[in-house]
Parts: sequence; C-alpha cells; structure tokens
Amino acid sequence: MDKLNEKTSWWQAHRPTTRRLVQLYAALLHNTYIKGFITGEIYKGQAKNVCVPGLNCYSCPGAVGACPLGSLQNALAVTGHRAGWYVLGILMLFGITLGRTICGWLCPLGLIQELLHRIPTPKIRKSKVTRVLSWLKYVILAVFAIAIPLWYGLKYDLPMPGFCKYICPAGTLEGAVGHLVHPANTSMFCMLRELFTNKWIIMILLALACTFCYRSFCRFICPLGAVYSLFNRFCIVGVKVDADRCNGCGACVRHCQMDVHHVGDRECIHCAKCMDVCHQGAISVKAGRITLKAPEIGCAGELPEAPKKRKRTPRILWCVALAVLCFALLWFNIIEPSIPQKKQDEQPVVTEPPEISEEQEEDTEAQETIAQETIRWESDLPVGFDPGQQLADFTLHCYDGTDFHLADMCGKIVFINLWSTYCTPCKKELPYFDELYRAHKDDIAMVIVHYWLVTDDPEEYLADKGYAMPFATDDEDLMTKLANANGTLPQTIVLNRKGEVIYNDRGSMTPDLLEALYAEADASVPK
Amino acid sequence: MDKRKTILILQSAVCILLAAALISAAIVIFLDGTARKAANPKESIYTAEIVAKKLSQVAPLMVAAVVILIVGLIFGVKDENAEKPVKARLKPRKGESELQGVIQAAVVVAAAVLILAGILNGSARDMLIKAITICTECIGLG
Repeated sequence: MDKLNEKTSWWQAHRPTTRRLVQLYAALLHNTYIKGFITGEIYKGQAKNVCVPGLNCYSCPGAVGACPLGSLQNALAVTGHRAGWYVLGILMLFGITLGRTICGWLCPLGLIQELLHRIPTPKIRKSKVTRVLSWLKYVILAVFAIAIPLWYGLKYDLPMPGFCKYICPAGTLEGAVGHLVHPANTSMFCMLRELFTNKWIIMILLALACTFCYRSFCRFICPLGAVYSLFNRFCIVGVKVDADRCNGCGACVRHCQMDVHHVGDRECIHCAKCMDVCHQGAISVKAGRITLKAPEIGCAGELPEAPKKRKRTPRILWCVALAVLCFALLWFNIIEPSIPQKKQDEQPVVTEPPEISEEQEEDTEAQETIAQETIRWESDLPVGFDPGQQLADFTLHCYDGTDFHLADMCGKIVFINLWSTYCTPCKKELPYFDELYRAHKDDIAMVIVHYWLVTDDPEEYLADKGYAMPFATDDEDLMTKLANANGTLPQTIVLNRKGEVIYNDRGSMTPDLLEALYAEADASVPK
Repeated sequence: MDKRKTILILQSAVCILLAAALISAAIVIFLDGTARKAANPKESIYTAEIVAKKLSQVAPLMVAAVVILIVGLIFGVKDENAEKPVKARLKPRKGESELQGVIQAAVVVAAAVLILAGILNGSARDMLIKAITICTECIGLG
C-alpha cells in the first residue's frame, strides 16, 4: 500500500503541468508537417505566408509557418527595395495580444530550454549579474537582428540575417541538424564549413548554459523576446496583478526564476508560477477583462466559477485543441492544396541508357520518343544529374537575347550555376564564376540560372555588375527535374566535354574549387 | 557524501564533458577537413562518415548522461536551493495607465494597417519565398 502511495506521489510530483502541456502542444502545432521529417524536405505551402509566434526556424523540416525573427531580418535586408511592413505588423500584433506570454507558453525553444533545465544539476540562481545580463538581448537585437541586416541590405544589397547566420541555435538545431540527420540530405555535408562549426559550438554552449541556468538563451540572448518585451506591459493576455489585493510582500519576485522586478515587467514570461506563491490571491491570468486562470486562494474565499464548471471548461478546451491539432496534421500532410504539386511530386529524371531493341528499331514512334528524352551528346551515359551521368537537354532564354541550348555546347566544359537575388552566398560567388568565364571563355559554356522563385528583378540587380557570362531565369522550373534542384542555393553543376556530369553539389564555391573543377573536367576529356 | 549531491555533481560533470566532447569533435573535424580541402579543393570538410565516426566516440558519454539523468529523475534528485526564494526587491509597479485600452486598440489597428500595407507592397511574398526555400547560410550550413 505504501509503495502504491509512493508511486502516486511520484506521479503527482512529476506529472506535466498545464503550461507544459500547452508548450508541447504549441511545439507540435509549430511543426505539424510530419512529412518533412520523413522526406527530408521543408513545407512549401501557403501557410508560410504567416509567422508563427515563437522562435521556430522556418527551415525546420516540420515547420508550417515562418519564423518571425528570420522574417524580420530579411524584411530589413530588403528595405532598399520595399519596406517590410508585413512582418512589423505581425510582430506588433503578436506583441500587443500576447507579449512574452509567447515565451512562457508557446515558444518551442522555450520548451527545450526548460526541459534542459530539468536535468538534475546544481543550478545558478538569478542575481544582479543575471539581471544585468538580461539587457544583452537588446544589444543583440540592435546589432545582429537590426543593424547588420540593414547595413548589408542598404550598402551591399546583400540579404544578411545576422542573428540567424551567426547565433540562432534554433536554426542550427531545427534547420541544419534537422536536415543533416536525414539520409536524403547527405549531400548537404559538403556545404559545412567554418560557419557550421561556429554555430554548432554556440548551440552546445547555450544548451549547457540552459542546463545550469534557467532559460539562459531566453533571458540573455533572444532578440524575439526582446521585441515582445517592449509590448509586455500593455499586452492583452498575460498575468495581471490586482492592486487592491497585493500587499507588496514581493513573494512573486523572490520565487520567480526570471529577472523580474515586478509581475508583468519586461522580463516576465507570464508563466503564472507566481500565482502559487501569492498568499493574497492577487495574481491571475487574464485576457483583457476575461479571467483565464483565477487564483485558488481568494481574499474573501470566493471562487470565480462553480467547481463543476471549472472542471468541465478545460476539458472542452483540450478537446477543441486536439481536434485542431488533428486537423492541422491532416491538412498539412495530406490535404494541403497550396503546395506546388509540380515541384513536390516530380521525381528527378534518372534513367538508364535507352536500350533500343529490334522491335523498337522498327517502331518509329518509339525512336522519336527516345530521341526527345535523350540528349544529343554522342554518349551512352545514362541520363540523370549525378556524377557519371549525362544531363538531359534543355534550352534557356538568356537576358542578353541569346538561347542557351545545352546540346549545342558539345565539346565545351559546361558550368551551370543556380542562384537567386535573395541568396547571399549566391551573390558572393558570382564574381568567381565571372573570373573563370573570362579566363577560359573559348573553352567554357556557362549559364547562371536564377531559381524559379523571383522576388527582385535579377536583370536590374545585374545591370551594373558587368558580368561577362550569360544569365537566365528558370521560369519553367526545369532545374528541379533535370538537375535535382530543390531551392537550396547556390548549386553548381559541371559537365565535361562529353556532357558527363562531374560535379553537382550545393554550397558556396571558391576560386580554387572552380579552377579545380575546370582542370578535372579538362583532364577527363581532353580537347 | 550525500547520494543526491553525488548524482548532481556526477550529472554536471558528464554534461560538461559531453559538451566539451561535442565541441572538440567539431573542431577536430573542421581542422582535419580544412587541411584536406587545402590539398584538394573538391574534398568536403565534413562528411557523413566522419561525423558518424566522431559521434560514435562521444556515444558512451551520451549514454552515461542519459542513464544518470534517468536515475536522477526516478529518485527525484534536484538542486533544492534552486527553488528557494532569492533576495529580490519588488519595485513598485507603475499604476496601470488609464490609456492602456486605448494603446492596445491603437497598436492593434496600426498592426492591421501595416499587415495590409505589407500584403500590398509585396513584403508578404518576400517572406513566403524566404520561408519556402532553405536559406543555407541562415541555418549555418554555409
């Protein structure tokens, strides 16, 4: 009997709180695209038109919404072209409605931090030092999330999300690691360099810090928390103090693990733990004038609702929430009509070399079909996009009025580069391609292809750059099918003089690598 | 020494060691890979095989950390001091402004106007395009 009692009390001590369940629910709802974890690809539907409230990388395979912080930085980066009103509006809306309630109840990274803090180790408690450190997030917001994107955007026309690139552990964990662990994305390993090493180290250090110090990232680093904190005093939903009941004992602040000076200030994440320690019953969670969670101890002993009704309401809410989650899972993974089906469903063409049988030789129609499917290189290589295969033929209309017809490039070393105006590494490597093209102009056929998604006019961007190689836009999304493009940019494909693919990888190029690829292509099939 | 305290210290040590091992593994891979890449620019700094090999070396520490964690959780081991109240000063709250409701309404209206303006000026589409393509630099891939 005693043992049974012990077990029950263990469960009572460890069972998840309502807030933990809401956090788990929110994390699931942020990442409902389960198919992404299975296929290793990200969700590409219209739901990404909307930001999620919490910090959740939009490159996470499961993410169904846009990250507000990443979106803010990218909006600032394109300020020279158009103001990012949309993201600012969304952030203001989240800020004024929920404030830092988002941090305490909805942010997936907040949940991860709290789970890490559950690891039984000695804990560092809040102090004057942590209070001072809590100002650091405003510096990071100003420098990495605002100044760097604005500076690079206005001065160099380069999208540079400083916080995402140099710090964000959500990007490293959900985006980078989330993709790298999937067997379909092993080609991404070739992209990893110093940047990944730095971000990996930062992520591990932050995880370690969270183990010892409650919500270290949230309290000291997170620029999104800094943005929401600006609205915290005025937010509609959150923990509110009844001034008439409060006797100023300060128990709420002494027990709070965040660096608050009073309930509801800039550091308060509205977790409502303070309700348990307030003997005056002065603290409640409210949405405007509606009480969402009333103190259990009332001054005059009154209860806000009849007990039966109180028990029933959360159950109904949970049923509705579960129904919403089920619908979201069904919608994003099965029904979703806005995913560009053409891009999702089309499998890259990888075919074996066509074997022409005697029957086929007699069949003129079959011969014509094969002639269309294969290219005009005099080669018996299979058609595909991997090294050792030959790329299927295509024609692109270049901005200079010429046509780039792959089959016409027979006898030349071909460089195809996929880029976009919204991709910083793509823009950075264009001069290297230009240099290579100028150095071997007679021996190289090159086309720089803008990915089918266009935000700014590529011709306008290139107008004053003076690049010698031809540029085109892949309006018909040929590269997805022919070269296994999936929007992960930049991507470079190199063919030797026989049309054989000798390189097809994503990631930044360097002048050395380009020269090495040229030399390899040259050596494989000499002139 | 108190058993609970021992578990706490052990868990801390394993956590720190694990973090150090993961960091040093990344640094070693990076340095080796950079040297290989200098010799042959086509070489990758990180490869799935090298990463898997390094992770397998760290695996015993991970297992140890998980085992101690489970033991700690089962026995309800935690730093008792962590939940004790700290000395903190309650700063007097600024009284709720009478204008709070007005401010909230004004910000909501301003946000709605900005969202509408964003849809019209194309910044919503910018966001969508950024969100449906993998920004390799943003997530640290390079």
